[in-house]
Amino acid sequence: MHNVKFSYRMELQFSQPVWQHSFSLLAFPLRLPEQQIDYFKWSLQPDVTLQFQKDSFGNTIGVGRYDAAHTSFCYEMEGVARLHQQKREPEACLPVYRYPSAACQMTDQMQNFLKQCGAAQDDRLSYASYLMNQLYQMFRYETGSTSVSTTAGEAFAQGCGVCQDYAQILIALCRASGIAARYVAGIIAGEGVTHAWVEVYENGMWHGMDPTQNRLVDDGYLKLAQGRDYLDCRLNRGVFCGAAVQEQHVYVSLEEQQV
Amino acid sequence: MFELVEHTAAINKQLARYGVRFGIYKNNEFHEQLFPFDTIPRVIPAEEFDFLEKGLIQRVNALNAFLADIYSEKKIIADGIVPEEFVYSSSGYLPQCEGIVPPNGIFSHISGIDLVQAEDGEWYILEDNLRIPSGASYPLIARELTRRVCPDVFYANKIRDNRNYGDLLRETMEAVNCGGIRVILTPGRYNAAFFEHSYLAEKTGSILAMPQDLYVEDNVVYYRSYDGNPQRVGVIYRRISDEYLDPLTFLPESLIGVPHLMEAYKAGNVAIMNTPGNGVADDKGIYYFVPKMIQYYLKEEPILKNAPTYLPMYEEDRVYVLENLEKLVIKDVAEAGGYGVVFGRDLSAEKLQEMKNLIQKEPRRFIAQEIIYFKDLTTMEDGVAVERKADLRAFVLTGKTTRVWASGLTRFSRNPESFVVNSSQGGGFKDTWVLSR
Repeated sequence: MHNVKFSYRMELQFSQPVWQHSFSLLAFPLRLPEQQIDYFKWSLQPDVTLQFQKDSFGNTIGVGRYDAAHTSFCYEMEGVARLHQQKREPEACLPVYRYPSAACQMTDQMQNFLKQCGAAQDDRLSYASYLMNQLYQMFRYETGSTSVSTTAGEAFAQGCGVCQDYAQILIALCRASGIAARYVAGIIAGEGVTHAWVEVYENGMWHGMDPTQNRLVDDGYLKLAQGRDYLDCRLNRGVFCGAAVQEQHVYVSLEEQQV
Repeated sequence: MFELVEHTAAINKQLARYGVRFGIYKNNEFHEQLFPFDTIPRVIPAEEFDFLEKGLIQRVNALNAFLADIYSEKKIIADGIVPEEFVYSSSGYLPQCEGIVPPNGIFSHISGIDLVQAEDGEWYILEDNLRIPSGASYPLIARELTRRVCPDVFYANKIRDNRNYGDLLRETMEAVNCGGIRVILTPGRYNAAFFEHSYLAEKTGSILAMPQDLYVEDNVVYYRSYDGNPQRVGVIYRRISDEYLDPLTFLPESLIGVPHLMEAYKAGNVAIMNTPGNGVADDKGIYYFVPKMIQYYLKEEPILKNAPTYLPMYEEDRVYVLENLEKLVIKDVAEAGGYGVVFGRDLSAEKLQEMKNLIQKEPRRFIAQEIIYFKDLTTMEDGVAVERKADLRAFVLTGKTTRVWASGLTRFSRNPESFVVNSSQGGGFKDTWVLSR
């Protein structure tokens, strides 16, 4: 078990004033048996009230609107959590996690790769982790080589990408092998940007896998959102009026708390 | 009724003046076309309409029950009636709508059910349209203009009045109104059916709103009125398709959506007609299962028949389809508006083989149907009476109860060889008379 302190800060800078800004935020840590949140605080600049709802994937979603002209927007949160993977409990699996989703479609190239990997085994968990290893061997991490809208097929074709691409490719491969899989956006130990990984379903439970680092998820992973692929887990969505160029800065941290 | 023929030009001129036209995109250019009106109506005798009415109400009630089940308990899948891949790999299924119970539990408020009558007089259901079925405005305005030009015809023949469509629609909207004004939401004047949007707003006494006229605050939808006072919206008859409805839930690049509309809807503060996610029930593949839904949910035998349909994903059906392709009509499940419909007999040997390969490669993508030889309807063409293929779109409205509008859109093909009657493929339309006795 790990006691961790975490924080997330997302700042938007607009080159010109924008107005009628509607936004949806998903960066509220999930409250789960394996992820107990002991303390949590958020703030928004400009100060807007949020309406909270659950989406169909179990995420908390905060929505709001700011009408007046503004040139910056900042959401910040921090908290303390107890992370303990062994405390995971059985969960139902939405059927959609077994089917291809918009960003996780198989291509012919990926089908060939799967064929080369060999037939799916009875033990789906070890097969998923075998696929993860195979992917890790042939795929290269390269910052900036893909964008948020790159699909699994596009990233696979170019042979390199970032955590989002590793996750979406593994999800597509798993689903094509009959293993239900979902996308997770969250924070891992250290400082920097948000991370993405995968959960696969076996024996009534979800199991975390981090294909970017080719390892199973341990007590150093904090989940913020889950869904079919990146599109369901966009932590910040918004639309506004104004011909502005926006620049987004995200800063996250997660560190072990000294007891 | 043949006395109407001499007024054809006059009525069509009036229709053009009223703006009865539809827009189509060809090669990325927007063109507006008139929708040619043929004055000789389709006539449905009273007993025949009573039969159709019963069958249509039954069908729409079962489809509503299916939608309620799919977005909640999914019993029909658990009980093995509908295979789950038909639901979850359908592009019309929206996981974002899981668990949402719409006001009064109604999913399909306005259902456009397409039927054809075969040469032997038997009616067949061709497809269900549960998303944004359009077309009611055309017979509505055509009747109004025809009555003006030729009132005598309507004294001589006992025809059920169809001018109540606005009232039916308004009652349907009021049945789910969550407290506020009624709005018809149009993407704007470049939409194929803009005439209809404005006409129905007028006929129902609703506000015709463009997307930018609506906004959501604290999970409530407001209309920005001209005086600057926001008015709360209780029900939206939207004519924007699901994926463009809310850029923060569906396609982020949508410029014609209303941000956070889905949250307001989920919170129970506004009704959306028809409900997002209905596409899962009018998918061409799901069509096959509608008679089974009627038995499953209503414990009744289907009154109206489906056209004999084969699903290549089933081994037995695939064998039949591959052997008989040249006499079947093949439909691409994902296409609409008469696109993606291919007649096996029109294909060259080479194309036929290509189609067979495609069906074997992607069996889920296609359905195949026996060709139904439609009963032709008499139509005037350059002053000469000719026989043309026609279908009928019946409008079924579900509010407090389910009712069938005693009229409908009869579309005919202007090409004598063609069985495809969609207006986007250049067809014309007729009024549909339902006799009162």
